[in-house]
This record gives sequence, C-alpha cells and structure tokens, in this order.
Amino acid sequence: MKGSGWPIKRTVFLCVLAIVFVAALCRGIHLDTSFFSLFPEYSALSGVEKKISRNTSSSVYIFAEGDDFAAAKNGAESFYVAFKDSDVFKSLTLYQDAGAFDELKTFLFEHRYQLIDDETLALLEEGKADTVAKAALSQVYSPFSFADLTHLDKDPFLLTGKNLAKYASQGAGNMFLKEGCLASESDGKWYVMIRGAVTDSALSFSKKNGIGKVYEKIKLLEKDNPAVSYFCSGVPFHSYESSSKAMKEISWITGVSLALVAMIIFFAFRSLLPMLISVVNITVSLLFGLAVALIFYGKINALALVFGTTLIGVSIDYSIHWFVNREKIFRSLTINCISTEVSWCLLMLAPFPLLRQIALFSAAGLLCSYMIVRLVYPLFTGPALNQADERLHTPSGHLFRMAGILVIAICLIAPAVSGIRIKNNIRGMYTMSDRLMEWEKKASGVLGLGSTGEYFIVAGRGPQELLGQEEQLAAALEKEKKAGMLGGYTAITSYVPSMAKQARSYQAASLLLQRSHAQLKALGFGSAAAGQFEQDYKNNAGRMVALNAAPSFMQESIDTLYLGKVGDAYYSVVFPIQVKNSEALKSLADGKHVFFMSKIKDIEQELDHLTKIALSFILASYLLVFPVLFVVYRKGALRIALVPVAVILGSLAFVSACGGVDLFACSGIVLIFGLGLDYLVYGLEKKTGKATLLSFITTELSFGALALSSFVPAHVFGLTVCVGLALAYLLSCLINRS
Amino acid sequence: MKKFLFLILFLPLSGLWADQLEDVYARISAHPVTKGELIQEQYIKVANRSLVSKGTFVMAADKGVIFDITDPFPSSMVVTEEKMVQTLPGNVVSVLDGNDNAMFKNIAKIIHSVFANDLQVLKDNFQVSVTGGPKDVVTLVPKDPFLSLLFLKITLTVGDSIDSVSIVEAGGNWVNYTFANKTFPEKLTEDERQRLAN
Repeated sequence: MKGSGWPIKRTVFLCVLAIVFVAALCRGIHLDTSFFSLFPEYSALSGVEKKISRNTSSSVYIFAEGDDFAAAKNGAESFYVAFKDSDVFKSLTLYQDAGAFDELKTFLFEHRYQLIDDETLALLEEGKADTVAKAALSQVYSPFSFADLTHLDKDPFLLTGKNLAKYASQGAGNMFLKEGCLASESDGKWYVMIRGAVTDSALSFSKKNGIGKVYEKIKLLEKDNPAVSYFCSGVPFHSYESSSKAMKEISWITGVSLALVAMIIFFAFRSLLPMLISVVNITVSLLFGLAVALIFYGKINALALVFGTTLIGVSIDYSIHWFVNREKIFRSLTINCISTEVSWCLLMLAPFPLLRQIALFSAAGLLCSYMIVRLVYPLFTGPALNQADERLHTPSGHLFRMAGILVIAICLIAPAVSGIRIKNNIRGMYTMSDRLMEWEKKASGVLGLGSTGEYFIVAGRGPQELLGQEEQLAAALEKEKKAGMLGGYTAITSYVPSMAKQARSYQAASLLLQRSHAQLKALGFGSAAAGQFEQDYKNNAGRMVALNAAPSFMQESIDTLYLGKVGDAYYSVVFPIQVKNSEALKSLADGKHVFFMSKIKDIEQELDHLTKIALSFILASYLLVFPVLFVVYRKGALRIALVPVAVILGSLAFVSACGGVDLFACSGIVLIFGLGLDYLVYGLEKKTGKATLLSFITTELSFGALALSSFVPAHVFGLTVCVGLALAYLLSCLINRS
Repeated sequence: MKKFLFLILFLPLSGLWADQLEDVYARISAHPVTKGELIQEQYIKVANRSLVSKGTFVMAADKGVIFDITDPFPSSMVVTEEKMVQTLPGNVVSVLDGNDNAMFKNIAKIIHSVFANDLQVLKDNFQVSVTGGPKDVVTLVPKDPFLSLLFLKITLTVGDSIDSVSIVEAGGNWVNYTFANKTFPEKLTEDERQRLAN
C-alpha cells in the first residue's frame, strides 16, 4: 500500500464504514438495561422464562410510610395524584374498589357448585354430606361466623361462604384493606401501597426517564411533607440504577483512559499529530464496534459497553507500533490482529448474550482500528520514535534466560499449589446501592410474601391438562405447607380450577340434594325453597368457569400466572411464598410437567458450565494460533509453545487464589492469550523496546481503569487481564532478550 | 354557616363521647373476667325470620372472648387479638390467623377491641357515639367502607359490663347477642386460658 492517493481498498474501507454507520443509525440506538438479560439461556424453558420476565419486569410497588395511617395515606395520595395521568405508568392503583368484594361474592355464589372448596369436596366425595350439612347449620348459628346469609335459601350448605375467606385473602400477605387502600402496620409505622406497571418508554435510557421522574418526585414530596417517606420495589428501579451507574462508569473509564493514552502518546512522540490521529482512530473504532453490535443484536447491553471500553487500550497498540516502525510492522500487526480476533471470535460462540455482545463489539472495533492503521495511516507522515532507543542495553542474555525459565517454572507449578477452582457467584455480580437494598428489605418486610426467586413452571399439552397438572402440584404444596416447608403459594387453580375438577365438584354437590329438604327446614324455609334448590342445581349442569370469567381483580393475577402457549405446550407459573426448604419443593418437580426454577442456582450452574467451555476456548485458541506462529517463526518454536502456557496457568493460579475462576476471569484469560502473544511476536520480530513498552502501558491503563469499575464482572475481567498481560510482558521481555 | 353551626354543636360532643366511652370501658375492664349465658338472635332477611341459638360466653378483657353455642347446633368461636378460631361439629376447625394474613388480623383485632378495652382501635376504626341513660348505649359506625361490608353498625348496651351487642349487617340481616346471668370470677380457668392462648 502506498502512502498517498486513494486506491480502491482505501475507498472501499471508507464506504464500508459509512454504510455500517448509516445502517446502525437507521436501526436506532437502543440500550438494554435489564440485569437478567445479561445471563445465559440456562434452560430449555428460556422462552417461557422470557414470558415470565415480560409479565413481571414492568411491575413496581411504591410505599408511603408514616407514623400513622392518615399520614401514610396522605403521602400515597400525593404520589398517586402526581403520576396517575402521566406517561410513566401504564397502570397505577392506589384505591381498591369496594365493589370488588361484592363482585367476588356474586362470582362465588353463581359458581358455588363448580368451585366447592377442597375440604368440603373431600367430605362429599367420602360420602359425608351429613357432616357438611351439620357444619353449615352450626356456622349459621355460630357467633361472628361471617357466613354470607344473603342467599341462605339458595345456598343452605354455605358453599359460597367457605370459599370467601380463601379467595379474599389470596396473596394478601401483610397488606390489608383500610379506608380503600392496601395498608400494613409494623413496629409503630404505617405503610400504604401503590401498585403500578411502568410503560416501555419510561424504561428508555435517558436521565429523565420514567424512573428518574419517580425519584425526583419522591424527593420533592419528602421535602414538602417530612412526615412521610417513600420506598420502592421492582425490577425497573434496579434496571435504572444499574444502567445509570454503567453509563457513569463508561464516561469516566473512557475519559480517563483516553486522556492518559493521549498524554502518553504525546510525550512519547513529542508531537500532536500521532496523538490526534490515535484518538480519532480509537473513537472511530469504538463507534464502529457499537454500530456493528447494534446492527446484529438490535440493542446492546449497557454493561457490554463498559467492557467495550477496553478497546481503547488494545487498538492504541496498532497506532503506537505504526508510528514507531511504519510499514515494517505490518506483518506483526496482521499476525497479532488475527490472534486477538481469534480470541474474540471464539468468545462469540459462547451461549451467553453479554459475552457475545462484548466479543462482537471488540472484534469489530479492533478490525476497524487495524484497517485504519493499514489503509489510512500511510497517508500521514509524522514524527517517529528514535529507533536508536529501541534496544535497551541488557546486562547478560544468560541472566535473562535464567530469570525467564524461573518465572515460567513458577507459573507452571502455581496452579498445582493454588488449585483451579471454578466458582461463579451471581449474587456478587450485582451490587445494589445501599438505598435500593434498604428499600427492598423494607418492601419484603411490609409485603410479607417472602419471595426467594424460586418458582415452578407447569406445562401441559392444552390449557386443561396444564390446570390438571397444576392441581396435582397444588395438592403436594398443601402437604408441604402443613409440614411447615412454605407459607403458601399463588397459582391459577387457586382462583379457577380445571374443568375436570369443576365437574367433580358439581357431581359431588349432588349428594347435598337429598339433604336439602331437612337443611332448609332447619333454617326455617318451606318445601318450596327445597324445590327451588333442586331446580337451581339442575340449571347449573354443564356450566363451567373459564379462566377469563374470573372477577376483574383476580384477572390481573391470573394474567401474570398464565403464560399461555409457548412452542407446542401451554405453561403457567406457580410462586411459592415464604419458602423454608427449597430442597423439599425441588423434589416435587418431575421435569416433564412440573419444573422447579431456582434462577440464581440455575444461572450459577450454567455459568460454571460456560466457564469450562471458555477454558476449552483457550485450548482451542492455542491449537488454532500455534501452528500459524510455528510456521512463521520456526526458530522461536519453544518460546511460542511455552510462554502462552505459562501466562495462562499463572493467570489461572492468580484468579483461583483470589477466590475462584468465574466466567469473566476466564474470558479475560482468553483475551490475555490473544494480547499476550502480541508481545512475544513483537519480540520475535525484533520490535521490542519502547513501542512494545508503550503499547503495554496503554493496554494496562485501559484494563486497569476497568478493574476500578464497581460492576464486579468488569472489575474481575479488568484485573485478570491486567495481571495476565503484566506476566505476558515480563516473560516476553525476559525470553526475547535471552 | 350550616357547617359552622354543625361544628359548634358537635365538636364538644365528640370530646364528651370520648370521655363517656372511656368511662364505659373503665367499667367493663373493672372485671378482668366476665362469664355467663349467651343468647344469639339472628334475623335472616331472605327467610324473614330470626334464628335463636344459646350457649355460654367468657370475656377476658385483655385476652379475648370465647363463645360456646350449645343449642340448637354446637359450635364455638374464640376471638383473640391475633386470630379467630371457629370449631364446628365433626372437628371442622376454621382458623382466620392474623399471622398468616394481615386482613384476618385486622378483623380479629377490631372484634376483639369491641369486647376488650382497646379504645384506640375503636376510635381508629369507628365513629363512636355514647348515649347515657339507665344503661349506656355505645354506637359504633365503621369509618372504612370495607368494614361496612361486614357490619353497618354495632351497638353495645353497657351496665356494669356489656349486657348486649347488636350488629346490623349490610344485606339487611342483623344479629343480637344478649349476655345474661353474668359472673365475674377473678381469673380464667386453665382450659379457658389455653383456648385463648392458642
């Protein structure tokens, strides 16, 4: 490539850049801020999982807290008035409809024969209709029984009333209705709850998004009325805080890395031109990486961008080497670009969305940087580093050889001493802010639902088979509840049983017909009422309650629990509450119709599995790259074989000693392999010295900045690469100078 | 102007009722335990007739109430601050436990407050008025529309202790509890203490 003019390759490259940027802009810049979307598809039920996530990811709870109920309610009303007509929430509920109770009573009365409660149904199926009848009479005559006697002539066995308490208290937890609101009292404090679902636009990424507005309003309301404080719970608050933090970190990591790199280049070359060209190269490469990732994935996770900032340190190497060695370095640059791209491309194969995004972002950015150096840099003639300084005077090659062998030996032995422990800790990956953690603790205490993130997914070939399977699970859960293994559960069949069970219920109620005369007589009704009772029963033949026929306030819960058709099967979710023994619940899953989902544990297991895959990627990288290098540098075969192995084992030993090898550390080691080889190749090309030192320092700065990130995976990744590259550089220096 | 007159007329009265209510409950709580016979008359609008049941009661001012119905059908109801336990023939036990559900706890607490001397709970949940006479009549009207779904009005007639409680329900039904042949033992029996403790 000549250094001037616009040959075809250069023009084509610039056209490609333009097309990619335009395509990305047309696609739109969308950031994914969801925490769980980072994680691998850890089960065959990922499609179902996504649906559950969609159903629950927009839900929020906002609590107003006061010393008395009036203060708490007043606070809740102020918030509600501020947001009820805003574009932040697609639904916002403070007041509970007093008519809902009547609606429930009417529903239960109309379907009393189809919805007989489990205890009564069991008695009837055992032929104990007398027991049911006597209990009803006793209840009618009992004080404070709260039996609904409005339809006593039509429901003399109190089938409606027995269900009423059960239905009215479904999922209520510690909250109860007070003056039209859901309230709770604990330790002398009153809490009033507002439920809501935020709009998609409220979750869009900007400082003034919906959640940001909620925070601002809460601050103002607390200032105006110090007697009330607020706290919130729900996935959108976590997404907002983590993405805000991620963007802040991207800003400072990019800013600090770029500034330091620019300063180093300026002082090394004592000229503005290399610095400016390098900064432009980095900026264009970052934008290109982002554009390619957006074109492929539609949206990119904010945390992938945090990792992507390491591109600064990697791509600057090419600039430095070009400014030092000009066209002479192209062979080394090409070999190094290939080895690093192989590392990134292997990571792209990982079944892990975050890693794939980081890998594609970095691979595209790096390729762009390489192409700019290769095609655009020759247009510039600028100052070069003094070649005379290139070779440092070395005291003795023999000493370096000995030191190098010693370091290699230590690296090879280290893993045997430290042991290689694979350990992924998902809880450690996301550090909640103190405020959000405090809020979640409070919300959990006030709601009293004690969700552990564990739940069941139930499957069936059709909706009715699904409900049947759910009823079997519910029966098993009832036993566990009695054994104290859990506090309760929410399931669709707690609201609407399967049609098979409804038919059983209607059939069992026929036993009451023979008792109806005596029962109604005991309650003071004449024989006409008994005739009417029989007629009502017959009129109910064949009636069934459909899932969408439940009262409106129940429908919201049913819609969350019923997942509908996903693939070839129908699914629902059952949430256990206040779980005391997960293992006991796990044993209820048959893996065919009932699946126990322990999201945290499942993801950790999958991450462990992926870590092992990533370790095999390192071996694959080695096997792919080594033959190429062996062909090019036959004389340095032993060094090429030994140094990367020593660096990888040394890095693994370091990470293991720091607590365990997780997927992010392992991904870092894959990259160390690619980048570490660069130092070896530059050495073999006799290009060691200031250029390699400069590129090492800039890369270390970039990954060092990442190691300061508060996002644990980014910190682990940055630290691992920092330490690994330092080892790679040290070994390359020692071995090449020997 | 009408509102102003209303305030002038009724504000002092509300303060007066508060004092009277305290007097009434001071009399009730002077007896740590009250026992006697219970007559329950329940009017069923749809049948246009009253159902009468009889039994015994135990009121322990600070612990709760036990109602044992013996005639015509046996049943029992124990109300404490935390829960309501109903026992029906065939050992059918229905427990509304406040530890499991705050709604049950709230209902139990309110009913408990009617028979115990928890004036704050009464004032928080009811508009209270007291009419003096040979016997004081305390009228409790729920403030909360949701509580009105259970009872529209509760009326207590109180001499030295509660003589009767009358509850008007939303659907037009009403129930009247008459407490007769009362005795005032110093303490509960072991069995009663256990029933109120569980």
